[in-house]
Parts: sequence; C-alpha cells; structure tokens
Amino acid sequence: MGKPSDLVQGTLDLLILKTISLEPKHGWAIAKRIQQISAEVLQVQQGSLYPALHRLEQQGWIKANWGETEGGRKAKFYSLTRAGRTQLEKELAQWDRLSNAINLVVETNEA
Amino acid sequence: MRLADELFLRLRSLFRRHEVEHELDAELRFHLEQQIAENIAAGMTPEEARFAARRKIGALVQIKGECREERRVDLIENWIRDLRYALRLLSRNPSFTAVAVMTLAMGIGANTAIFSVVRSIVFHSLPFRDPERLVWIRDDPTVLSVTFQSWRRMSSSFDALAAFNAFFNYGAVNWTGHGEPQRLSGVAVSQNLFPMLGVEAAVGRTFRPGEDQPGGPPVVVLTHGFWQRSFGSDPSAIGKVLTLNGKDFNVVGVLPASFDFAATFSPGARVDIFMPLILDKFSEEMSHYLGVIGRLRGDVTVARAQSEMDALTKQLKGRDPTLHAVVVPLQEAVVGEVRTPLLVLMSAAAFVLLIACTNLANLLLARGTARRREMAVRAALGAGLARLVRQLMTENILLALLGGAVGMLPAFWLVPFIRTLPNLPLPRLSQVRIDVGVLSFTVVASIVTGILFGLVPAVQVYGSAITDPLKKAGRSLSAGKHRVRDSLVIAEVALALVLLAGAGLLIRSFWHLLQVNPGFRAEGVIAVGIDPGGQKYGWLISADRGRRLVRFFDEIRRNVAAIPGVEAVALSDSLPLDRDRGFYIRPAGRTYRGLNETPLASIHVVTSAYFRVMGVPLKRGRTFMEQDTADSAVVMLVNETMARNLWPGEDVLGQFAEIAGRKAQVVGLIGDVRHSALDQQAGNEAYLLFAQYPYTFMDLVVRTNLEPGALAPAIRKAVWAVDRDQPLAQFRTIQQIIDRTLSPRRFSMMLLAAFAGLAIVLASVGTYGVMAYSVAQRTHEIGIRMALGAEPVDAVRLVVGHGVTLAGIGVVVGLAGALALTRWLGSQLYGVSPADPLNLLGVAALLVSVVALASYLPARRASRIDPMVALRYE
Repeated sequence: MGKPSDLVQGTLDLLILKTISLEPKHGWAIAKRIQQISAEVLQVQQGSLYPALHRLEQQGWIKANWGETEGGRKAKFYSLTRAGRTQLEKELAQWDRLSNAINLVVETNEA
Repeated sequence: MRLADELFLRLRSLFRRHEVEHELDAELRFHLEQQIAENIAAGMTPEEARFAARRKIGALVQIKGECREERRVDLIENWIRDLRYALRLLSRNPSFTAVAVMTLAMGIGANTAIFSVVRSIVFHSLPFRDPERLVWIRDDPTVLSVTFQSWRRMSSSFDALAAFNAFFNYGAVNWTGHGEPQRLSGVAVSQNLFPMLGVEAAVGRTFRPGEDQPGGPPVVVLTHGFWQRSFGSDPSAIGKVLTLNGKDFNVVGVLPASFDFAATFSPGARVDIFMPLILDKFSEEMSHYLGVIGRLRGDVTVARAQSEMDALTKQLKGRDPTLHAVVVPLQEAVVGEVRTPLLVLMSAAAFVLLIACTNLANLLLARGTARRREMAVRAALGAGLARLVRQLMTENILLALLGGAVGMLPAFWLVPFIRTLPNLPLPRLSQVRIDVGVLSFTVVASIVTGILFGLVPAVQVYGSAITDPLKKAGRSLSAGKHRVRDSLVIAEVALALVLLAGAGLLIRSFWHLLQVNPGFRAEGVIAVGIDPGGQKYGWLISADRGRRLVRFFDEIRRNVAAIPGVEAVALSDSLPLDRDRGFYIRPAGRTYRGLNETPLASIHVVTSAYFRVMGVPLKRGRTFMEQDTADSAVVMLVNETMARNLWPGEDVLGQFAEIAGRKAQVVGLIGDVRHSALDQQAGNEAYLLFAQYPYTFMDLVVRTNLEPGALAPAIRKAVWAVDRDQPLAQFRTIQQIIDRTLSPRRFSMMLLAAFAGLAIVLASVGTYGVMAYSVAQRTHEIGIRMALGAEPVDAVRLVVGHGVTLAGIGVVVGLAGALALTRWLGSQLYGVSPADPLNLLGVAALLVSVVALASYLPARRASRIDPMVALRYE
C-alpha cells in the first residue's frame, strides 16, 4: 500500500463534494467519513483538507455555516451549493470515465 | 449571482480579516480537539493525546497559510507588497528609472496628444441631438435656392431640411453705431436649423417660425464668443439693437458656448452673428450658395434618402440643369477628408511608442541579467513562475504608469496649443480637449506598454533563474538571448525608418510646395477687405451704382497711394488662394450644347495696378490702362492656360468672349497664377476691370517697402477720410494667406517630423544601450582576440560591424514597411512619390550612420581593453 494520503488534488475535491452531498458536515467529520467509507485506505491530511475546503468555498461550490455538533460544540459545517451539486455530477461522470478507462487497461490480459 | 457571492467572499477575506482569521483558528482548533478526544478514546493519556494530535495535524501555521492562499487574500496582499517592493527598487536606481520614465513619457505623451486630437475630431459624435441621423446634402457642393425650396416641398425622407448661406465669408456685414465701425461675420440660417440640431439658446431664444419669411422681423442671434467680446457677457444684450449694413436688427438670443458652427460647417472661419435665411425672389437670383443639412425621418437610411433625391433630381433638372444631389452623413461630410491624415499621425505616434517599448525591453533585459541571482533565490525559495512574472510585471506596469503620468504633462501643454493654432482649418478643432476618455486611453496605453515591454524580459529572467540557479553571475549569455537583443535593435531601426521615410516625404512635399512659383510675389503686400455694402450704393446692379462704387474706391486708392512707403495700390475682388468665383465664358462665334459643355473661368475684378502690386507678369499685349473706363470698350485679360484651352493655335489677343453678362475683348495675356491651391495648376482665369464690372466686396492690396503692419493705421485713416462709417476687415499679408493654405500640411509635417525625431533619438539611445551591453559581455572574447594579436581597430570593426549589420537588416525590413505604409500619405504628397528612391536612400543612410555612431562609442571602449584585465574579467 502506497502512501494513503497521496490523493490527486482533483480527487480530493470529488471526495469532499460527495461526502457532504447528503448532509452538511464539519471538517473533522468529512475526514473521518472518507476514512471510514474507504475502509481506512484514504487518509485525508488536515494539511490538504482545509485548504481544499476553503478553495471549494471560494469557487462557490460549497458554503460554510457555523452550527452545533451533537456534542454541543460550535463547528463550521460545509454543505453543497447548487453549483456544487452540478460540479459533483460533472466530476462523478468524469471519474467514471477515467476509472473505467483505467480498469480496461489494467484488467486486459494480453501480454 | 455566483460572481457576486465570490466577490463578497473575497472582500470579506480582505477587509474582515480578523473575523476570517478568527474563524479559521476556531475551525482548526475544533479539529485538533476532535483528534485529541479520539486519541484519548483510543487509550492515550491527555498529554500523549495532545502531542500525537499535533503531530498528526502538522504545522498549523502552514495549513493556515494555505487556506489563506486559497481565499486569495494573498493575491491582493502580494500585489501591494510587489508594488512597495517595485517602488523601492525604482527609487534605488534613479538613473535607470529616469531613463525608463523619460523614454516612456515620450512615447505615451506623443500618443496622448495625438489621440486627444483624433478622438475629438474623428471619433466623437458631433455635438448635436441624434447626430447620426443628420446628413449633408451636397450639389456642387452648394445648392440653388429654388432647388432647396423644392426639396423641402417634395421630399419625404426628412423630418427637417435646413439651409445656411455657405458663402458667409463673402457676406460679412458692417456694424456701425457702436464705437469704431466693425466688420462682423454673419451667417444666414434657416429658422429650423437650431431646433433641428437640438441647439437651444443660452440666453434669450433662437429664431421663431415665420422669422425667416420674406418681410419677417429683423432679428439676430449672437454667438457666445461675440457676446463675450463685444457685450462682456451681459445678459442685457438681449433686446439691444445692432445696426448692420445700415439696417437695425434686434438681438433676441445668445447661443451656448458649446455650439461652434464654424468648427463643423466651415473650419477655420469665425462667426459672430446669425440672421434668418430669407428665401425670397432675390435669393432665387443667386447662384449655388446654400449649404443644406437634413435630419432623416424615422428609419430612413442614407441610401433611401439618396434614391429619393435622385428621383427628385430628374424632376428638377429643368430649373437646375447641373443638379447632382449627394446625401452624406454629416459626420462623414465634416471629418471625412481629415480622417486619413489624422489616423496616419496616430499610427506614427504608435510607432514611437513601439520604439520606446523596444528600448525599455532592452533596458530590462540588461537589468534582468543583474537580477538573475535575486530571481534564482526567490525561485529556490518556492516562488512559482506566475509569482515571479507577476512581481516583474508589477514593476513594469508601475514604470509605464509613471511614464504615462510624465507623458501627460506635455500633452496638457500641447493640446491647448493645437486647439488655438491660427489658420488651421481642421474641423472641430475648438472641440479638442483632454478628457476622461483621453486619460483612460493613457492609462490603458501605459498598462499595455508595460506588459508589452516587460513580458519577454520577465520570462527570460525567470527562465535563466531556474535553468542557471545561483551558479554564476553570467559571463556567457546564451545565443538565444543575443538573438532577442539583436532583433530588438532590428525592430527599432525598422520602425524608425518607416517614420523617417514618412516624415521625409512630407518634408520634401512641403519643400516642393515652397519652391512652386505661384505666379505672384507675396513679399511686401498687404490686403484688407473693404465692403461698402448695398445700403449706400444700392443693391441692384445699375450704371449709377457702379459709378458711385468706382468713385468711392477711387478716392480710397488715391488716399492710400499718398501714404509714405506705399509703392502701389490696387483692388481685387478675389485674391489668390483666398477666394474664387466661377463664371461661364463663351468665346464669340462658338455655341455649346447645354451648360455642362460650356467652359468655366474664374474671374477676378481688379484695377490697373493690380499686376504691379502682386507681381503678376504680363506676357503679351497690355494690362488695363487709364483709357479703359466704365464707358469705353469692355476689355479683359486672360491667363496663359485659358488662352491655350479656349483659343488653341490662335492669337488670343483681339478675341471676343461673353463673360458675366457682357461681351469683352481680350487685350492682354497674363502669366498663370495658382489661384485655388499651391499644389494645383492654374485653371482658366480672366481678369476684368473694376470700372467695367463694379462690385462691392473688394480687397485693397498695397505693395510697400515698410513693415506691412506699420501701414495699417494709416490705411484705416485713409479709408475713414472717405467714409467715417466704413469698417475694414482684418489686415492680412499675402504671405499669411499662403501660410493658411499650407497650414494643414505644415501641421501634418511638423507632427510627423517630431515623431520621426523622437524615433531616431530613441533608436540611437536604444542601439547604444545594446551595443554597450554587448561590448561589456564580450570583454572576455575581445580580450582573447587582442591577446592573440588583434589591433584595437579590429575591435572597433567587430563592434561597429555588428551594429551596422543589424541596422542593415532593420533598414531592409523598414524599407518594405515604408513602401507598404507611406502610400497612406496619398494626397498629402506633392512632387514626390511614396517610393521616391532619394528619400528612402537618404533615411536609410541616416539611420545606418546613427547606428554606426551609436556603436562606435562602445566600440572605442572595447578597443582600449587591456587583454590581461579582460581575461581575468569575471
């Protein structure tokens, strides 16, 4: 297993958008969620996560609101904007194409 | 919506920094605490948990920095930092900054000045209501009164048609009863002209419907300038009575200062008052004399209006056989002729700016080498290409803006100077000004300039910074960079050559014109217009009126001739290069089918001494003599061109011809005079005797051996001795009249020559810089050559040879450009073709020698190189 944090930048964006597409989440929860769902394969470093969040907010794809966690702490929750939802669909389609293509290449036994 | 959101976020990040920073802190702290909590849950002690969490999260500060960067706060902050850095850098290198700013100031200043002229004259819409719907309807180009009235009645393409007396220069009026008698320039205009143009009175009113009908009330409207000059801007001028040509007129209004009739309709003229144009029976007796302006109705196009006018022309041919109406958009009619010359000047200014850019690029390249270490350090510390280029561009644009600011200064001085140039009949000249549009042009031009001259050096500096990091200060330059510098020199020479070729052509044209023999001698002759008008001598032509006019002018001539210093006095109704009147002439015994075939001649009504005063030679026969009087046989003199045209192969003396309603015999042959323009050959000219063709509006011409101006008071007194109420027009020397016709050419020539001068200065400075730099770079090489036995003269030859080679290539490129571009000078050229070899060779030689000189100075330095020092030079 290579370094799990070596995520392609565009991929991290996709993961974030996907993760918050169902409900708003704060940064910690986003990182945890990605880790969980990927069965601990994908570890998001804070050093990449927060700049990515701020970039996505700047691009207008997500928006941030201060809210309360289950434990009653104040935290910054990120949710998808309408533009973000469109972007997510676009990136998903792109990812599909890319991963299919890669699968085709690596699974063909011609050699 | 999204854009607004983004903008909001950016501004928030920038201006509510503390809030944003605080949120970022809170956000990251929350994350840290969650991590700690998780660690504790996994069984660590709080101490361990905290330590592990910190380690996992990494450098908080760096994360924050990256978040900030994502928010683009840095963009603006960095920019301000760049700006401060650039300012510091520029102030630390005052000589570099001064050279750069002055270079740019020349380029940008020239562009600003010429752009302000071009913008006001060519690009601004005319200062009227819906100016794009206004058209000028021309026929020759002026229109008969009957034709105009028919158009008004029959055409349907126009909301309104208005006319004005296009020959108002002739019809100046005498204003008496208000101090010294004055001569005013008054234009008769249709009542609806002002409403049609959307011009409202500043004080009082303009004309009312009915006031331009025969028998309407005598009213006048004043121009703002005249109101200021003669009434001190006193509103009580309204209601005053002006005695004009002996008749009383009521002042009903003053036009706004912004309305400059002459600037649009008669460039170079001055207008004092407006009167209603009355289209009575008398007007219908006049020849073509109306300028006609129309406002297109609804969505009628110019083409449709034209086809209607064509149809009308067929119906109106009976009354107006030569009718040929042409509908031209007013803007086009006003500025069409000057557009090309002005755009040529603007392109020339752009060339100067390009040369300035080239110089700057060179300077920066040279400096860039010195800054490679700095760039290398910054690149090594992680600054990206974009970041470094941005910093360099900030410096360059700042430099360019400084240059622009300095360049504005001469423009602020130059524009009022151009606006008030005397005798320059450019349309709309009085409307030329520096406004927000011009200022934004300068700012944009500066920024574009900064990018233009800065980009190549910036990329080069960065490129060298990463490929050659920190290794050496740069002894050997790559061949690529040499090529860039060399091509900059070539470009400079080529651009300068095009400008010089253009300027050379205009200068030669002007010089050719000055060499033209106009057929008269201008030195020592002054002229002054005297028009007794109709009120004293009768409006209708009659023998009695003629005798009284002749007596009046004879008396004036006698008085003026008695003034000490006066050599000769004469009268003429139309001075060369000033005015012309065309008449049909029918040699006896010949018939012509229709007026189109009948020959035309310009007639000049003069007194006998005219030829002596003006220095026009008699070729054969005799001039007018004392024996020719009102009652003797009618005689005329013809010029050589007319003799050739009308009586080819015959003896012109003794021939008869009918002209201006009378049959006259040719008694003398007169040398050709260039009457319409210095660059046009003489046409058919006939001279008639004043006593036989008396006319009211005459110019008194006086040959003197004194300073022309010194005679003015004495001449005025001599005229007033005959009639105390007789005003005199402005005194002019004949030379002034010539200068006036030359002034548009002089304007073009001076500007283009100035631009070419700037170009050659910039090009030589630029070449010198490149050569000096290249000598510095090649010190090592030259040292080796000298050590191997080369003589100093070889070093000189090496460097100068390089410069001259570059200049040669530049000359070839420039010649191609000049051949392609100078044809735009078109009608501005006289006696020289755009491809004139003498001109092209001359400017090429000039440029090559300038470059050779600019290379020689550094070359001499190279020749003094001590091989030992040079070899150690590093």
